[in-house]
Amino acid sequence: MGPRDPRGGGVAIDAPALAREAGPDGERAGAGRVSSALVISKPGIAVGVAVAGLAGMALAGKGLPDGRTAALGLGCIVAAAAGAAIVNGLFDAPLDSRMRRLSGRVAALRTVGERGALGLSLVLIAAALAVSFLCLNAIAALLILAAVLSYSLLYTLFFKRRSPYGTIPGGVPGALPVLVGYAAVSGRIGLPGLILFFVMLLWQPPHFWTLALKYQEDYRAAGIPAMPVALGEPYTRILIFVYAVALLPLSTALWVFGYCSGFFAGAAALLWVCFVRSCYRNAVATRRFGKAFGASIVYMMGLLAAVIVDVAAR
Amino acid sequence: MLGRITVGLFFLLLVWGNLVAGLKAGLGCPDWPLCHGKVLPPFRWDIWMEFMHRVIAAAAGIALAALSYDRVRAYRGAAKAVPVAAVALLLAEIALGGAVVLLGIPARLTTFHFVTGLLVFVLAYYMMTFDGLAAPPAFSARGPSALFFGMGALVFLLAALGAYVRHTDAGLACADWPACFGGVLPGVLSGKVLIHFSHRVLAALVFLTVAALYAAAALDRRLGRHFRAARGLFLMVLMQVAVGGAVVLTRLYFLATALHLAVALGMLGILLGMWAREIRAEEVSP
Repeated sequence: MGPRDPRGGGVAIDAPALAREAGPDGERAGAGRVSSALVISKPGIAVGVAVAGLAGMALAGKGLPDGRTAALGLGCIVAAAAGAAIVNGLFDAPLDSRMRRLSGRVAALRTVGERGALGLSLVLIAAALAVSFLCLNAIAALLILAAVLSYSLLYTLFFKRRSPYGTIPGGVPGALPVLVGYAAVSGRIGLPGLILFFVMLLWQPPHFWTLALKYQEDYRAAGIPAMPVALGEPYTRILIFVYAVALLPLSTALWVFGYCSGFFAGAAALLWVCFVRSCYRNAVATRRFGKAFGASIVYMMGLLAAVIVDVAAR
Repeated sequence: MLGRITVGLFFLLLVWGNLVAGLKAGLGCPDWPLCHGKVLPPFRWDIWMEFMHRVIAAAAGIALAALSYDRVRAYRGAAKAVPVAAVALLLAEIALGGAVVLLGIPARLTTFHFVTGLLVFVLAYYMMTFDGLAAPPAFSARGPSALFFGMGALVFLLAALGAYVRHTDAGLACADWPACFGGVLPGVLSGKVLIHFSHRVLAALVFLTVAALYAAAALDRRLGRHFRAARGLFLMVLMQVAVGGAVVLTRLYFLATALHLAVALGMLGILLGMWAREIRAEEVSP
């Protein structure tokens, strides 16, 4: 539910090849549609926000959530993230078609069809909202609604297309799953959840900018004013490093305020050193932006796992 | 594409089944084939977890039947046994599933049920890899392909033993981690402790084997084309060790056990992929 975009190569589908393979066989064509629906729902992002939601739940409950809350909460987060990702793909289709990196996703959208994709996204979002409202609580449902609207409308139609700084507020929907998870357990928004929310908010710009640097020609071709396109590569590289450095005090605030133990602080510091080192080596000193992008994913997944393990073990 | 879908559905089915068991939602639908006497059961989270399990199972079964039909037509000679065996095992799996419920979830039969499902997953993976047209079905157990096949068998055994640990309620027989009863070796090696500790010993062997493979792929040019896969496998086995620890330390939290199985399936998939790649390379330059 954020501005993050997974690298397209790994899941790219060659639509013409797909059509060739499908041929007249209805089952194969059906299988192609199912697979394409999976591609346009951006499952990598859905898994990432589910882990963030679980971390929020663990912080709220000071331990792992019970099965009912975890299953319902994570199910709602994944469904809403997938639905919002499809809406984003529908709105961005004209831009995405000019980006080589996203050719697979565009082909997948074509395979599913716009009406089919819209229907699927609405079903997923409506199910997430209804289940969270009826089975969890109104705060969690409202936060899911905020995440869906801020990603699929505010970020996609406004921030992304107008400003190189759009990534910064665009990080809000990507960080909201932490608060959704927190609210699912406690029925309110608490300080530990807010700290983790701001950590994710601060992490998303460097995460996205490394990707934008790697595929800056794509963004230029699509006319999207991503940071490297609008303000240049040197400025973006400096900002990535500055944002990465700023993550340490914010992430260790969970330990400073007593919500996590020294184990978490150690893990957060170690992950931060690795991330900052990767940012310097791969995004500042050289142009291996893909490696810095990968390091940013490892950093955030490691940090969220550290939160979950730390809280669960206490 | 159908092959990928089928493998993906069986992956989802196995992991979802693990989630349902971990949530103790297996009897969410007490009747069969309907659920609470309805096609669409009333909405309650545990009922729908089990109901979705059945939906995924039905979809996976249909996909496997379609894939097997396709491969029976495409394969020649003895290779036709693979799709036939896949369907036969699927039918056995369905019958075993019923027997497991009727006999009150006995540990050995439940483990056998899981192993049968895992075999179907492996056969579906084979049929996905060898489509019979661009990639004719083949089998090899010599040179590096024997190594990958053997390692795949080792991971398969480890997963089966893990299922036995779970179904005999031995998951917390060693309640600490990485030590067992505070030491490297538990004082008493019998009963549930023996079952649990055997899983840890076999896991250690798999870890060492994968680490050796990674080192060999980095140093031996003959294995160079497998380096990336070996690195991925090594990262996965590291993750699996950590998740295994989390399974114990979280006292069998359902997400931890499901992730444990998902990573095991991923490792099995990587090894099968390496095996298939090696077979193709052998065919190009025997």
